[in-house]
Amino acid sequence: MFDQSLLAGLALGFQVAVDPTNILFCFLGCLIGTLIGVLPGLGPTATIAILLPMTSALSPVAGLITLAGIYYGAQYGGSTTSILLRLPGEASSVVTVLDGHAMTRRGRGGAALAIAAWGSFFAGTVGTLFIALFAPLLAVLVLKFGAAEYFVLMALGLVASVVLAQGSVLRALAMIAIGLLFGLVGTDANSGQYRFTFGSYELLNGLPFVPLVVGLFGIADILIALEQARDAEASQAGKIGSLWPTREETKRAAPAVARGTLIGLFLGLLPGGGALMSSFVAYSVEKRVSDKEGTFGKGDPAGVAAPESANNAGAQTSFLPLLTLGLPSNAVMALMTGAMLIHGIVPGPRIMTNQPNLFWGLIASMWIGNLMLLVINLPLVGIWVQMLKIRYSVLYPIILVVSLVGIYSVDYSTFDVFLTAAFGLLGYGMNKWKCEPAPLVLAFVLGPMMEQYFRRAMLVARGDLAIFVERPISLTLLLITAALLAGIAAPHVRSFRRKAFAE
Amino acid sequence: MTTMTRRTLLAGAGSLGLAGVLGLRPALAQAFPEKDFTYVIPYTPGGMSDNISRIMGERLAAATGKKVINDYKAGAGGAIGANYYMGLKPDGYSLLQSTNSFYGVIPAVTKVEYDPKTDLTPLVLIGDAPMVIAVSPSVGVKTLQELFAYAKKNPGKLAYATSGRGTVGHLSGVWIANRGGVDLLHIPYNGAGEALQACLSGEAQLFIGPEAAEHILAGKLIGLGTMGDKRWSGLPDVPSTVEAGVPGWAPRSWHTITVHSKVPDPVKQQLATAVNKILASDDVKDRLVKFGLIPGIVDLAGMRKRADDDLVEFGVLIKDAGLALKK
Repeated sequence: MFDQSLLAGLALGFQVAVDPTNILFCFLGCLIGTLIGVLPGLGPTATIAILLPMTSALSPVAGLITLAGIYYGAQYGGSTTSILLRLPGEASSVVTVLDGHAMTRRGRGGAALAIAAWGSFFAGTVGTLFIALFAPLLAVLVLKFGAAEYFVLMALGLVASVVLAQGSVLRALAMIAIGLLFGLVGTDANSGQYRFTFGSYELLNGLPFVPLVVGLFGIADILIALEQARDAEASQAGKIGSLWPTREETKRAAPAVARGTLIGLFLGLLPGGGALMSSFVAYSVEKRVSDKEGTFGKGDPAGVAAPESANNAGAQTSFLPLLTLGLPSNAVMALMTGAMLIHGIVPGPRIMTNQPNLFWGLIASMWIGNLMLLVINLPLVGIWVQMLKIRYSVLYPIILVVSLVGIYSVDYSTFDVFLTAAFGLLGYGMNKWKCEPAPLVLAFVLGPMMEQYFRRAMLVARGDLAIFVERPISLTLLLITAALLAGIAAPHVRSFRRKAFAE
Repeated sequence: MTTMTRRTLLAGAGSLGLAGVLGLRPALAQAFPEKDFTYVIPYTPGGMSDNISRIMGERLAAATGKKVINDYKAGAGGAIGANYYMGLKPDGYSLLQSTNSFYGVIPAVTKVEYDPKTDLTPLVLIGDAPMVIAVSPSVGVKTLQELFAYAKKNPGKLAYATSGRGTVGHLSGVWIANRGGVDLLHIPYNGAGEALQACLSGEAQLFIGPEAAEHILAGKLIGLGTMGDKRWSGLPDVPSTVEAGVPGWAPRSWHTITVHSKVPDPVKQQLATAVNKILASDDVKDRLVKFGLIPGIVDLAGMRKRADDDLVEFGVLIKDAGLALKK
């Protein structure tokens, strides 16, 4: 019975998705998504907001297929600038910078892009199948996650972020502390108190994310390059070598892709930080599992494969709460509900039964879209890599202008442009002090969410801390966090004791 | 079909801020309007205000032959957009997409640079958003009175989820607690989607807002009442709160287009007439109903009264809830 309806559903879906108009718009969406993913600053949220009215001229299915294509296309494209230029355009590609850009420095940029594309394709395929198979079941799982579970999951993520640090743990902790402080800026959701806003309206909603990452990663890197007069290096990175991963690289990447996909499938379901958490957690897990010789952070293919697969798997499953419950799990999904309403489709739990061709058509088109993205992106790898041949004295001003225009266009706010400059300087300083930006960014995103979930859990439990251990999912996550913390602390405790005994 | 596409293209270009690049303008010899409109949307794209502004902007452009440029200024629950709007010229060419919160709630809970009575004027009623009180089936109550009885017997057990502190949903919860003489715990979330999810998962027991309708129809939540004195055709089996035994004013949510009060009265009237003509057309009405709104035509005086009433009534609730801004 269940299999029957699944097969019938998929058959219906593919029938809808291979309709020539739908295929064309799926392709267009993927292409646009790839391009805006490549442009730093301009993300899928802004693009979909701009293109939304145009979809009203299309059929509902074609419209949603286009918008969905833009969304996961941007996940593919977002890795390109992270890998080649150390400029993450999307939150979920921040960790890809670490090993991806290191590979570029070693002249393996093309291979890194190819690994990201293949990993994303694999993850997308599995993600689509996963949604088709388990949609009703997963909808129930989403509802099992309450405030307590989210809080513990975020705590796990924060502890895992220490693992991200490549150098000193103490410096990583300091960066986490700064990230948490940055995250506090804005209006407190529970009491309405203003924190660190200094009377500025722009800060009432907190510090914006894109200026922070573009400043800390992209602008800072340009400043450092200026100082080192890196132009001499241009010719070296320009020597691209083979665009394809070597057998050795493939062997490193393949298991990482599988693990990353698995993590992304589940974390993508969670609203809010799902896609971001999945790439961070996948990277941290990968580093624990396969970083035997300390190659992570120096251009390990596994460090590219895991987060890229995870964020794409997450991008697919993040559609699930929308499709099964009508609940948008992030800003892009909220726009998708707007797109449905334009066509008179009311998002809600009845979409699957009332609009089967929309539901299954969208799912089938996701797989077709992923295939198209592979076809679009693999030939593009060669073109993107050519960018590295441009002299830095020409390339950097272009990057700077494009990033700032992108940032300005999100909210039409000059304030954000100044913020980017300020974070660029901070990033430069951090580089001088050998502090890494990745833990700061993760803490910045997770901190405010953790606070909110904690306070919400306390409201729900009427102030009883036992809520975290009474709920089975929460307890399990808590134990994993404790084990991870012990794992990180153990070597330090040991060496401290050895020193203490020696004296 | 071609005109339709051009209109959509214009609306799209408008939100990009690039409208000047595209399009021909039919030179209409009219006193008003003689230039393009700026349409400030004080929320992020994707929400109800955005959905409304897209259709209204598109139709206004078609009706006047002028471009309508959507300008998104989100943040601080709408206060950033409203303050930005106050900085624009009060010539009738700048419009503000708004709700009754801009008159009754925001000025009382946030620092704003306008006086809701003297600086802003609501032009038209785009639609009322039915505030539906929904309860999780796990509570086991079917009517509002049963809910009150349950809450009295089990103090501290019931919590309601809202899209944030100081929203109409929050004040609706305060109102229910006041009128029922019961204690309800407020849990704020980020947006209606998260709040609704919390009610579906049982983390909170109550949710108040139009978004609950689909879940009531699907049988996942139970509708206890629609706030106010009228039933809503979208949920014909759910009584109004007056029918459910709670007489008088109830928190409500309505959408409007606002202009500066300084705009000359004839211009206000002309604009209101033009927009009401759009609102009276069947396809726009149909679209608004699909958005979950209750469309209706209200004149300028009627809108002023709505705004002033809400300022007083919400003011009482805001004081009760201890939300009032310390000035």
